[in-house]
Amino acid sequence: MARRRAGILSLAVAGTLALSACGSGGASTAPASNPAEATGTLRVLVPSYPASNEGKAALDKVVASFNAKYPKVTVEPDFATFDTLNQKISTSIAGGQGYDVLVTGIGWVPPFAAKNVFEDLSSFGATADSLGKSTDPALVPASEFKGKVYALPLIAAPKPLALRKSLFEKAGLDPTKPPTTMDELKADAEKLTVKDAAGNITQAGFDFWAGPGGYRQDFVALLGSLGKPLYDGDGNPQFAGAEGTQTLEWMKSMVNNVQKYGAQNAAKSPLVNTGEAAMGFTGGYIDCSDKGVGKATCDDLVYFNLKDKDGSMFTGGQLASVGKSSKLKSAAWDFIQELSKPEAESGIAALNFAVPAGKDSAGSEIVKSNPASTFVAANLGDAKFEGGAANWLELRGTFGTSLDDALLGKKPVEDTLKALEQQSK
Amino acid sequence: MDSKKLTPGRVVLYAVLLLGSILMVGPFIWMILTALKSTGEVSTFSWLPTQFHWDNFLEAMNAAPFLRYFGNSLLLTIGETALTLVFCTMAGYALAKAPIRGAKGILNYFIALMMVPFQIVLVPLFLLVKSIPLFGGNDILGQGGTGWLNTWWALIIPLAIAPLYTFLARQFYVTLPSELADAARVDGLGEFGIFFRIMTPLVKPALVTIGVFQIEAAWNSFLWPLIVTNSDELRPLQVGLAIFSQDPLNVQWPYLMAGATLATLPMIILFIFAQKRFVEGMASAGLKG
Amino acid sequence: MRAAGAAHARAARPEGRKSRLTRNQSRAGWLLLSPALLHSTFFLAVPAVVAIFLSFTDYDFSGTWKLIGTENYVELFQDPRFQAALRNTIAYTLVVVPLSMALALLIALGLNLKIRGLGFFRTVYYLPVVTATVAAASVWLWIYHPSAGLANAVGSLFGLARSEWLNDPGTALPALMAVGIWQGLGAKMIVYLAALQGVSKELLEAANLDGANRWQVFRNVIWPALGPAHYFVLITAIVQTFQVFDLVFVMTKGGPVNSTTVLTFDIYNNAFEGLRLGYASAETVIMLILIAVFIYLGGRSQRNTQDGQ
Repeated sequence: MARRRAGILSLAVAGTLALSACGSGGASTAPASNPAEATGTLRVLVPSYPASNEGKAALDKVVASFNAKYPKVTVEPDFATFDTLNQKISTSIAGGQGYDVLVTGIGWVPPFAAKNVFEDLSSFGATADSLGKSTDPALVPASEFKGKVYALPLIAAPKPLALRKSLFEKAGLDPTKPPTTMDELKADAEKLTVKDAAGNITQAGFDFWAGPGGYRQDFVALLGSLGKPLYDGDGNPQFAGAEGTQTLEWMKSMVNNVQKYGAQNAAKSPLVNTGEAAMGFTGGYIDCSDKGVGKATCDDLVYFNLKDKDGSMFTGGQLASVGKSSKLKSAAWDFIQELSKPEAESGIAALNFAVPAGKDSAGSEIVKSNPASTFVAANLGDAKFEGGAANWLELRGTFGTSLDDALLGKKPVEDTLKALEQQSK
Repeated sequence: MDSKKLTPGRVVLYAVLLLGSILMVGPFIWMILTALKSTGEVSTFSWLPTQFHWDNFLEAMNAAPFLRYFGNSLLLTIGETALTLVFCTMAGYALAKAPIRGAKGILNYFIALMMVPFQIVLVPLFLLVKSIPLFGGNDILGQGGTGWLNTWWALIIPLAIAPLYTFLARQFYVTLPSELADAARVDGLGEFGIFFRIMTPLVKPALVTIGVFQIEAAWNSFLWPLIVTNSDELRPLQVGLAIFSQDPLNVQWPYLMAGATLATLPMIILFIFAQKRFVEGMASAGLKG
Repeated sequence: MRAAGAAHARAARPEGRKSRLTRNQSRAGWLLLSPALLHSTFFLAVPAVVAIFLSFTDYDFSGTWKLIGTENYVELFQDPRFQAALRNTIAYTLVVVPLSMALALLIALGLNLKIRGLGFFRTVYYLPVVTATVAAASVWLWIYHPSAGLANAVGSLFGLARSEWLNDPGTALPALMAVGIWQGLGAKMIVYLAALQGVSKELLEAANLDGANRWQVFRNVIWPALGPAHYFVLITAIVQTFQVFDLVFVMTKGGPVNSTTVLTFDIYNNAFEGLRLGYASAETVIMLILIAVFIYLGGRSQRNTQDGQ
């Protein structure tokens, strides 16, 4: 009896699914050519603003500025964490009620552009060149897919390298001359590795700041120092050539040599910050106050990037896009512009412990507040990203796991990279 | 069975229970202690904070309108639990005692529904909730509006009355002797009366158990409320706490743990009272037969 | 097993009255059953059917989708991550279900005695159920830390070699199993405790008067009375263990090298990272079939004990 019921229902619901996907729902109306006359509800999904009082206050400022131009449009903010962002976006698409404004991370743009979730911003006059006038040009490639611009960069969250002055001096190295190539890095790291009587590493020479599956972003940074991005502007893989092999072989020689595979402390924080490693990847923000790591640690840290064929610093970040199904596209575009104004960007950067993507970020509060942010803001030109393939969101998990296969010696390096190259679309 | 004598067996029992308790309680203690640390201290793992930052609790609660979130969770929990206690016991009793043809099959149907993981039900259920006819601006076919989205309906109803609790209720009712019902029928009591006045009072431990489980599930629900609401007025506690782990790379541990501790306290207090009822249930079970 | 002393012979009834009585009861039964039945059908069965339907499509949130027959299923069986997830989930379930059930029963029996601090112990053993998963994960990550963690410290006391625990593909899954058992104990214990309260005192007293020892009392009075509770704990343990997600998501994200990838995690990945809902739905269907098989086998293994049905 239950089966018969189910049979009829499945047809009914398949129909509903089809209807909803095609149908529009939502209360947005067609835009008037005059912003002051435009009415409707602008649905914005901005995980950059946490739903805390602080976050709401910052978002309210942006909304107020937007409403000055669009007095009759109501802004309806929605909330998500980055872990649940895709579930929010996908249910909204399936329900035929896509958001008008979406903020996502670097690497999200090609997949969503390919799925027609993001609007091509060239209809508003946005090109790579025009973007480069207000945004740091190094961040522009992250907003492109197949030559078109689909997002405005808001903030950048880089992961620079850092070393501990005191540990460098203890090992007889000069902290004012940080390594610039992978070979130099390895030589220094091997001198900095301290082991105990049983052969266990007590001080890592170099910390990858990665757990199992997490070596992906390190790979991007190291590959970038050899002058190769992960994918080129058209989404073609660049990591399976000689440079990629060299990078992965180098990583393999470092793992279980200067640091055990997947070694992290239980708090998963950068080991160079806690002193458990002499060098390593670290975050682009550090709290030097007494509530944070303290002044002594901050003074002991020296930030640097590798500079072999190219300066390289892995960078994540957040970008704002207009939803393709939006009925208020001009209003959405103007809202994004509000988000990318220097004051708004500074607010977002402060809330996310990142740096603003704008050209004048060096003057913002957060950049001046700590040495890590100052360093990364000054070196945004070295930014290297992960992503670029249309199936990156699906592939990145496998990417990390495959790298581990090579690092643990389960598969040869070249085969691993070739297999990943094949899986990239 | 002298309960006060300390036999060697008792000593072993106590020792084992205590050892196990340490393991059970460890993470909870850590949660509280972390709530008292400063943000910098949490970059390495430690048990004790250097200073007891009691103000973390205040700061965490002031970071967002947590009082409202607490009230929302309360409403959500009471609503779901009331619905579950009423309708799942009814259904469980019917499956256990009523001469329904295909009762076995229907039980298996409920069990089968339990097997479906929530992640895959998320999108279709969202669509369904959005298409409820005649709500939220929808026409009779459920098109054109937002249905139950962003309302208490969507928060309370879909996740209440889960098959799990019907199953649990049934397993408890099945242990009751049918002769009791026969006797009551001879006395002229109707079916609903038998269910409500004779059978259900005899499964108080079941009611307490279902209540505890449903309350805990409702109180800790996160993903579904996150997906179906967008307004602050409806946000429950766990979604509120997510502001502290907004960025997975920069989790604000002390505040998150402070919030989590405060969120857990009602559950624990509730359980302490509930498990006292277990003892009461034990006493009343002797009335049988 | 009916409680003794309650049986009295049913009075013989004339044919017409009997069938009317049964019809009455049956109708009342349907009325009692329908709200829950309708609710579950509407809010669970219908979405589940949609999901099954989606498994035969290539729906990926991009606005155009079509029926592709069994292509998803064929692709799944060649997908190394799915194969890993399958292996790991089955192994995880086979270990965690029996162990957690046995432990929970033992603890419930222990906590059913009149011991001092009963309320304290019961609350403490229930704590893992309400402790936030992130908090539990942090402590267990510390326990399993290769150099600074408790596990290796305790292990070295017993002369065991140091293990990499969650970073070693060989030990990561067993390490998670321990956490899974830890987390699931409290809820099972509660059900067993509640069921133990329902064991007839008369029978217990009668058995004691007959001079039965502890083990005989357990085997002949308590164990059979636990039948229905046992069945419930078994089914729900199988279902919930098969659906393990939070632990993997928070502690290992499926690694290292897919040694802790489980089905629900892979389904989540396919649905919301890969955005391939059709593919993920196919994986779900396979998982459902597997759970059903396990339940069937598990239920059969209970036939020799008192029938909980």
